[in-house]
Amino acid sequence: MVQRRKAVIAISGVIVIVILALVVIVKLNSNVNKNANKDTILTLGSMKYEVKNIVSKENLKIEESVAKQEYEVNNLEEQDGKLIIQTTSEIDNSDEAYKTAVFLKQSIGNLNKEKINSDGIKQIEVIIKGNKNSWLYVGDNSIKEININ
Amino acid sequence: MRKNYIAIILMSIFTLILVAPFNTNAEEKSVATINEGNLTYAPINTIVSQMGGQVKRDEANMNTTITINDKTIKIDDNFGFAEVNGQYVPYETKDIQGFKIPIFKKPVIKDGIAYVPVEFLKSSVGLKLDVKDGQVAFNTVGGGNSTTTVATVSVPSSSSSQSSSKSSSSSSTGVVEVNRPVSNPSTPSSGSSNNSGGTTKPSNPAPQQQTIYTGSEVKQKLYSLGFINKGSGLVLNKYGVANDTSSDYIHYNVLSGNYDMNLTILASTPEVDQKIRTILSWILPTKGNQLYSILDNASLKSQTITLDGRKISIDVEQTFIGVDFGPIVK
Repeated sequence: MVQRRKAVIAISGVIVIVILALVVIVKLNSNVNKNANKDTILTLGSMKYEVKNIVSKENLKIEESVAKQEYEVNNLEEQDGKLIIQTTSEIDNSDEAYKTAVFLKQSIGNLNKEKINSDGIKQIEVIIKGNKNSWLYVGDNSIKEININ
Repeated sequence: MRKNYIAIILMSIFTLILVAPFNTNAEEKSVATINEGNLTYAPINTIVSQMGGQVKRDEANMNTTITINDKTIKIDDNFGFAEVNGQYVPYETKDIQGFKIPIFKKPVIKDGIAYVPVEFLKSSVGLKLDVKDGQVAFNTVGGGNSTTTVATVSVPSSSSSQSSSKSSSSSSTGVVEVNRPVSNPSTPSSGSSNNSGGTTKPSNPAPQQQTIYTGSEVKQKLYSLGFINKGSGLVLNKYGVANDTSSDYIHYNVLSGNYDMNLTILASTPEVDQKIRTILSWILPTKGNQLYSILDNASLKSQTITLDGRKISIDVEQTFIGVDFGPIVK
């Protein structure tokens, strides 16, 4: 009788341990998934964003890079040696966004050489919030189409 | 007798030597300025031509090229920056958190004359100007009778007062204009009114041609089709409002540089289609229908073509068709 009771307790204990183990595994797995989601949401200054698409502009002539449409610089942020320029514009295509961003980077760089040196800024990045799309330019031959969260 | 002649000649030479330094023909002149925002604007063409610089007006592309002090400055009526020796320079900057930020600001066009900020003329062009009491003072060369020659290509414009004023202002600064009359049976030509005003000297008139509209002229005509202002461009909206993007049919923007204008078609109805046909006939005098046929194709793909001398870049996206029109190349 006692042995049977001991057996029941042991089996119950094993069942409880198995269930707990399953719960821990499920919990850990869900955390892994959450972390995976976090990897797609990036941070730049105070902005959180996701990259929808990266559009190469290697074939675009750099000498044509100038803002052809009106824009407004809303904010500047300095972070980790980066100057982040936040703008809004009615630009609706990636070519114009790229040209505007390259122009802003060059123009602001030329107009503020001393301050950029004194502040230790190594890189200028440009965010353009358009009517339909938003873009991020980080200084290479491409522009990122982004969702701002 | 001979001694008298020698004395007279010597006195004449002496007098010339004394007077010469004061006879430089330099004269201080001043022109009225205008204020917009917190900036003072001055008429660049008038000042530069009277200072002995060169002014070339390209009416077809709505820009002016100025040469003075070893600098070449291109001023586009519809563009937010000047091009100084090939570099884009803002007319105005603003300070944000200690950084100078270039502002997209077009020159002010008043009565057909381009006004740019005085500070830009001083710092980027290097002109010596003195602003006081609503006037900007400067020293002229040759008493204001500059030898500037301006070749102006005139095309019919819906904003005839603007073109007309440009001519009169140019003539007042000794500018010689060469007009290229372009036929326009339905629209009175501002080029003609320039000539009738007696301020221009038409020479070698070109043969009658199809009407060629610039981006700005098309923009003026679009109001007649129900377009309204939206930002720097125009929109044709289902409800005639500018703030309901979801109901927009067509966006229109005047560009500069490699392209004159952009037409973005977001949605359409038979009525809108008819308006698109009309717009294309303004932009492409003989090939408007051909471009309409190309666009009105379910399997349309992004492409670049040339029609009526214009480079046309068609960008087919999921939600819109964008069409960029280059200037007419002859």
